[in-house]
Amino acid sequence: MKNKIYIFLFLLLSASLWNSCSEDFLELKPIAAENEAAFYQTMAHADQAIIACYSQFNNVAAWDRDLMMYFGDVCSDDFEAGGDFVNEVPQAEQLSYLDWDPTDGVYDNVYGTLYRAINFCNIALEKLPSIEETDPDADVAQLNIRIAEAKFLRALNHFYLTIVFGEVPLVDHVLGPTEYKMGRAPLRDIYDLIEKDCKDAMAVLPERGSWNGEEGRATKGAAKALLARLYLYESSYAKYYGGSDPRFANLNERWGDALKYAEEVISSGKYKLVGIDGETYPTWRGPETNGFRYIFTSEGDYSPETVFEITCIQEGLGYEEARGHSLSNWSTARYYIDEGGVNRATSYWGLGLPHPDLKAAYDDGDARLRTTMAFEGSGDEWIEIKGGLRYPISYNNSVTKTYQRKWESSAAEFADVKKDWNTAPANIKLIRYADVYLIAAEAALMSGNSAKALEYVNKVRERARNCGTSGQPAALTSVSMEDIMHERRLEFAGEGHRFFDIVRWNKAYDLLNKPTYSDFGNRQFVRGENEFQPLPQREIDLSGGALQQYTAF
Amino acid sequence: MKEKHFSDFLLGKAALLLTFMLTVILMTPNSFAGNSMQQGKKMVTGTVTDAKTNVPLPALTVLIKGTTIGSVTDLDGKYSILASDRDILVFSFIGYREKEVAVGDQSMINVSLEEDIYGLDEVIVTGYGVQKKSDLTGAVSSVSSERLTNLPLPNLEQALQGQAAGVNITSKSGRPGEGVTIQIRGISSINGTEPLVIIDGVAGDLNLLNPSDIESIEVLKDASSSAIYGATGGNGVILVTTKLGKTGKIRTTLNAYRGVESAINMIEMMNSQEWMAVNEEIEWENSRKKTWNEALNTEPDTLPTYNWQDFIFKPALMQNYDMSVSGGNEFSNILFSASYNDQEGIIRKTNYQRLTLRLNAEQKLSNRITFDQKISFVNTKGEGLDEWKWHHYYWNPINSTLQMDPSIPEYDENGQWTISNFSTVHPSVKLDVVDKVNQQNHFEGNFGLKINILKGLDFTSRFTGKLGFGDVKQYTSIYYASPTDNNPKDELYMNMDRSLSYTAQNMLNYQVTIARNHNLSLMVGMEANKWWGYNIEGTRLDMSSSDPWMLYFTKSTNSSDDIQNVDGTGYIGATQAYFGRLNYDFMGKYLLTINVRRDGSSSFGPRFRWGTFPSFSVGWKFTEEEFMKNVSAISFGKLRFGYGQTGANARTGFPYLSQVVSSPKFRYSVDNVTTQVGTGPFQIANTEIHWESVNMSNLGLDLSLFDNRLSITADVFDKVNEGMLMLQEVSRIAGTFNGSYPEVNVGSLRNMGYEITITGRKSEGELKGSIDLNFSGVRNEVISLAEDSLLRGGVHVLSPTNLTCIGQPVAQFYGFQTDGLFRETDPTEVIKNKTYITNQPYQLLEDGSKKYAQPKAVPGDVRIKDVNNDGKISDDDKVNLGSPLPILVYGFNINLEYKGFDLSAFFNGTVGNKILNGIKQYTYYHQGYVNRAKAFNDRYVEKDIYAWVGDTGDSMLVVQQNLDTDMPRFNSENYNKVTDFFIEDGSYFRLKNLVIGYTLPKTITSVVGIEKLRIYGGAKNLFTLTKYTGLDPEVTGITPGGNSTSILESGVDLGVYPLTRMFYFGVNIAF
Repeated sequence: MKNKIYIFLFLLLSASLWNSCSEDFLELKPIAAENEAAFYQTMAHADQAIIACYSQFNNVAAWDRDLMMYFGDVCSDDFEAGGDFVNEVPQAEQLSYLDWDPTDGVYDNVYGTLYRAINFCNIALEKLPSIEETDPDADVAQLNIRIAEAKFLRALNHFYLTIVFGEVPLVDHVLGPTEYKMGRAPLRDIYDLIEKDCKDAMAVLPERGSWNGEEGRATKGAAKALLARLYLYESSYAKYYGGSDPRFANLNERWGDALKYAEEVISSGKYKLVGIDGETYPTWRGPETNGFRYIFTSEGDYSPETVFEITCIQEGLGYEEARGHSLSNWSTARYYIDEGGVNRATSYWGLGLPHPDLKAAYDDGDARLRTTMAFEGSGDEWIEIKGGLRYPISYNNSVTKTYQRKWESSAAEFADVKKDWNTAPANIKLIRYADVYLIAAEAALMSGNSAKALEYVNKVRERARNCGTSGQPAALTSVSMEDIMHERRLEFAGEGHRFFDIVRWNKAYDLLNKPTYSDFGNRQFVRGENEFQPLPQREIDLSGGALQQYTAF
Repeated sequence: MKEKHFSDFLLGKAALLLTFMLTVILMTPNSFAGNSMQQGKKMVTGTVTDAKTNVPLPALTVLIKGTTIGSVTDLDGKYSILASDRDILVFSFIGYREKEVAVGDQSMINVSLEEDIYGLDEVIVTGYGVQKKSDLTGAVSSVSSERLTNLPLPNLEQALQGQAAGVNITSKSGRPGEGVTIQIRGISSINGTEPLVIIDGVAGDLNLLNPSDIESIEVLKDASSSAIYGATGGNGVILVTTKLGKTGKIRTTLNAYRGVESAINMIEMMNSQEWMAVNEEIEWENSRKKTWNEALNTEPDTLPTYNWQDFIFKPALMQNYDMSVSGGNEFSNILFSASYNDQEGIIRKTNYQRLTLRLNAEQKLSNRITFDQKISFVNTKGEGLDEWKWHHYYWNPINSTLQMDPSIPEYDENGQWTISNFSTVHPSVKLDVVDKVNQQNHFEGNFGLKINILKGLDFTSRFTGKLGFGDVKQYTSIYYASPTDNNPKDELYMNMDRSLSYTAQNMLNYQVTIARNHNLSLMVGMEANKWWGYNIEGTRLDMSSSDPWMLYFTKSTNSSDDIQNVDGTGYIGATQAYFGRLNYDFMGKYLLTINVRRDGSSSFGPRFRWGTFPSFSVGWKFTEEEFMKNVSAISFGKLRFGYGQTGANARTGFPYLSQVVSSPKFRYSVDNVTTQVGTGPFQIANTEIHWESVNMSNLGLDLSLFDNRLSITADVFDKVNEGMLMLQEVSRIAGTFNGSYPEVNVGSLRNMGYEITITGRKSEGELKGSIDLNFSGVRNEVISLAEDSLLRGGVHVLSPTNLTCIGQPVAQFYGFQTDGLFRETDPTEVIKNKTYITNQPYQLLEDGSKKYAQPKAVPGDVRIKDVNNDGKISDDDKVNLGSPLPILVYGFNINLEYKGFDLSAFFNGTVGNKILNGIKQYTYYHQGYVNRAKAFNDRYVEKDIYAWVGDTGDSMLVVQQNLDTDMPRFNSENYNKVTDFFIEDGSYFRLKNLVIGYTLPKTITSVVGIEKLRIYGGAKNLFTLTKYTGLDPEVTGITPGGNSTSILESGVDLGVYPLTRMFYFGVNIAF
């Protein structure tokens, strides 16, 4: 009898021990994510890795609001902080008054987004080359193009980091845990990497139009234009700060290089200033949309005008998960007047308001003015809001009596999406062909070739002129640096260029160190402090002293 | 991979099946069970009575010591049992002190038992076993079922609040079905303080229990008692035992109560005139910048005032019904129970219902084998959007209710939402158009087999399987409230999740007494857990019907792919453990316990997978010593000391592995048509991640005085958590998303504290009374962190609110100190047409000009202290503004019984904690035309403000000058920073529950066959004494916009769903 007990006992024990005590009981694999070691094996994996590199453009707050609207425009002499009452949007006002606070989330957001993109590029650059061996069907040429895309994107993100923050950590490989406390790298080193990345990329990337419909990908022209822009910035810093500022040490005037690569883009024949011959285009605004306005509509996506675009497609998905652009919502009009004469809020924000000085800078009848902004008396007195109707704008709620309209979308374009603040469908035209012309013009002038400079500036003015009927702006007969600065301002207002341009020309002190239009806050541009945005306080804190602000914020 | 999971599942099934088969085999008559008439056995009989009253005690258990062989007394207290001369009989009965009698040559043993007033002989459930309370050497609090069931509370967690010293429980909010946060002995880890909850031997969820099913609750507080749970015991352990059927006749109980709940507190808001006055003031302020709104020029005197809180918060009904049927004989017992709890929310569509079914049964298959089954089913159904729970700034109806334009009603005469010229969010819209139902179903089977192998040697095997089915359905209808608040397409969202887990345990217990005085018990065991689950969610638009019966994806008329969204994920994990315990006592006087457990987890890499957690404790019952026998005042005394190591927060997932995912975060379109999903890093791996360890020592004293009328338990402890798992914040150059930082073992926290429980009892004739008081204090200190400090928390623009840094307690409030207001009498100077107040700190710039610390300051603005005297206001001037952690937490119960009446009052509270009153952030809102708290009327106003009245051309005074105040003027600079203005004393004293009952005399009720009939009524949260001006001082740290609590954001009042006051009435029946 007793034996029987033990037999059963033994059975019972062994049953449960067998179930749970085998060595691999705890040896589990994740089931909803992949072990990195088992990934990056096939061409499909390579495609996915590169899409991740592009995906960091999805942070609409970082790209649209912070980099473009806030840093590029609201901080500049072109824009005022918007909002409806004093201190409604303290963030925009603080930026506008150059009262910068390193703890402001905008810095962390931009810094994080750009470095995330760089990290994803670095992962791709480390992992993709071996796919040649692991995937027997790998198309090596295609794989190399993917690698070149990662290089272009790494260069682009590094470039934007330098124009916003100045010297920043140089991240050229996937960092290990001991490398997170990195200090600022000299601009020279960062520029060398960007230059190399651009050159490597341009050697492999296809030209515009060779992507079989995937026009949102990097191209040879984009890499060249970015490189030209890089040389332009390097040359400007070298020229206008010439040795007096240690931050720009070892930078050289490379106008010739800037001109060379800009001209390579021009001579490629792949691009065109849209509407230069006075063409009009059918868009949501109607079939007679002029070329300049067309660029900023969804119909103008992937037009020959753009060298590199951030793709925006409408999707009712979560924040940071797929993007439409938010620029129309940061601008446009915040209020309309209803039938009863009462101000009604739209879901737009009106955070950046074009400065009346900017309005005055345009020649009468320059078609670019009414594309860039709506203002009291402009005739642009309505706004389309979700629901489809047009409502009159109340300019009373704008300090400047203006609203930015460059990136406006139609109500119909929002009709299919649940929310309408980051889902405008037009792509962001990050590098435009007009920019290539003006880079070439500036570089040519600085290299002493003012005939070429005149030709290129006039090209841009010609397009603007042909987009209207006033005959303005007239062709220039001679060109000076002031003319080029003026032209850049008018052409790119509201596209996030201005602040970076006036800093590069060392004009910011003169243009910004004066009372603001609304006379509410005095702008004090402090040399040595306000050329670049402060690094995020979080980074300073985490760096253990390796990172320092330019001045003590 | 799929096959693998399935095979694991099959293995679990196989073990279960085997257990069943064995049971069947063992039950066959042919088995070894019936070896009854052994040599030397004889029949022993006798009667058991109460020592005081001589009343016979029926249904009392008589056991042969060291075996499960036993008998039960009949209605006359008589028993009979087969025993040998060497056997010892153990007589035990709830509420009486256990008695042991050696059989010897007796064949008739009559026994009288003494009532156990303090419960020293009470048997306490400890980890993987039981122990007599008097023999305990660790710090254990126990809460009896009576105390829980007398208070009509919908869940156990609330019932536990304030009942045990050192166990600090805080309600998350008043939303029905809402949980609590539990801290046992302070904050042991910044990753969370949730203790391990063990229900009938297996980890479980307190919220899913019917409080009436509980037999007892024990809280293991120190490491020596919780170390048997090793790596999961670091935050303390709550052991719950459910009721079993009792030997005797079938007994049926019914309990029903209903109550009405209403918000405990409301914020007094401005009336329409005061509100319009603020708007006029804004207008006046803005006239410096720009102008706005003709709509202001109404005649404010004629505006009606509506209290929006009355529209949104409505009295709500709570009802609860539960019943049980139980009984048993000497071979088996059974209990069946069912309960239904239905709570309406005081905000509509925030209801919660819970249905529980339970079957607990136990069979004696033979004298040596017991088989038990505990099977339960729980269904919960919750309504309400998640964002209503917490502070979701734009959609939380509480926030928008408070801020709503007070001059308009909720709906217009057509039943449409009213549209205000001044508010963009109408709080009722979301309440009206969104329906969300969250249904959860849980099945659990818990099967145990206990075999008495030899005298004193038991083998126990337990297998528990759990299945969870969750379904969420959310429907948003088409609506149009305003141009900015509308939805042209209706939407259906569904989410389902499935979870499966099992636990297998095997234990051997050996008890022996050597040479009469050496009592030894030894336990070894092993346990294995595995869990697995997944979820699937999806959305469809354009439903063809809004009928709740018809809400399935097939009813979508929109088939275009781009508006369909399907997502889902899965998880898996396993743990495994071996453990052992030795209890030794010498003459019942000197006690020793040693525990050791070895734990392994699939979350850690092969090299760091296993951890060992030892503990020991010693006790000395000094009242057993000769020299104490004469001290009559002290009837029982014991000193305890223990030291041990436990673990905490083994996280789920695979933090040691570098993983990549294809996530929506990696989506991008390169062709303007389709979106591709990229693949990127999921987290930064840390291959060296391992268990957190918690080291704790405990010194305790148990005293029972004056004939057990007064008892005192006091403990002091020192608890240090080392290698605390923290997401190490790393520079953004690492290139990951928030939260995907590497997890590292670097943090360390220390908690030192004391706990005192005092219980006093007295009976005078028919009046019986008792008081239980418990209080505790903990001092918390951060010893190390992954970085210098952690800044967390926020209420809209007030952020960060809490600082955790080395050398201080966690989550200290952090912000600016203020120093009164700038005044109209302050000296000024004019630079570039702007006026500056000069008696404030400034910096000298290179060009010799002054840069004032608060350049925009005007009279009425708050002065911020330049703490570091550098002439500017920056983060360096922020200081510790107080602690959200209380100095003292207490609770006390008063119980009185007289004739049939009973009264129970339970008070609790805290002392010394601060609260960051986040509600001020939006009731003193610094922007726009929203309504504000009445208290804001006292703000500084520079001068009288007049407004035009209608078209008459007359003007009227709308805001009066107010210089004599300390409340800053209306301006964002004053209200958008964390300053001491927002920090308030959070101490409170609350009558948590008051219940009065009357039990009808048995003589009356027995006529209709009822054994007990008690009617009762009472109130929950009847009154609260506090200086706190927010809705309620019971505040937990809740992540803004999220649904989780975070220790690092403790004490920030985000304005959550208010706690409720309830008046209730109920009846208990037993027959």
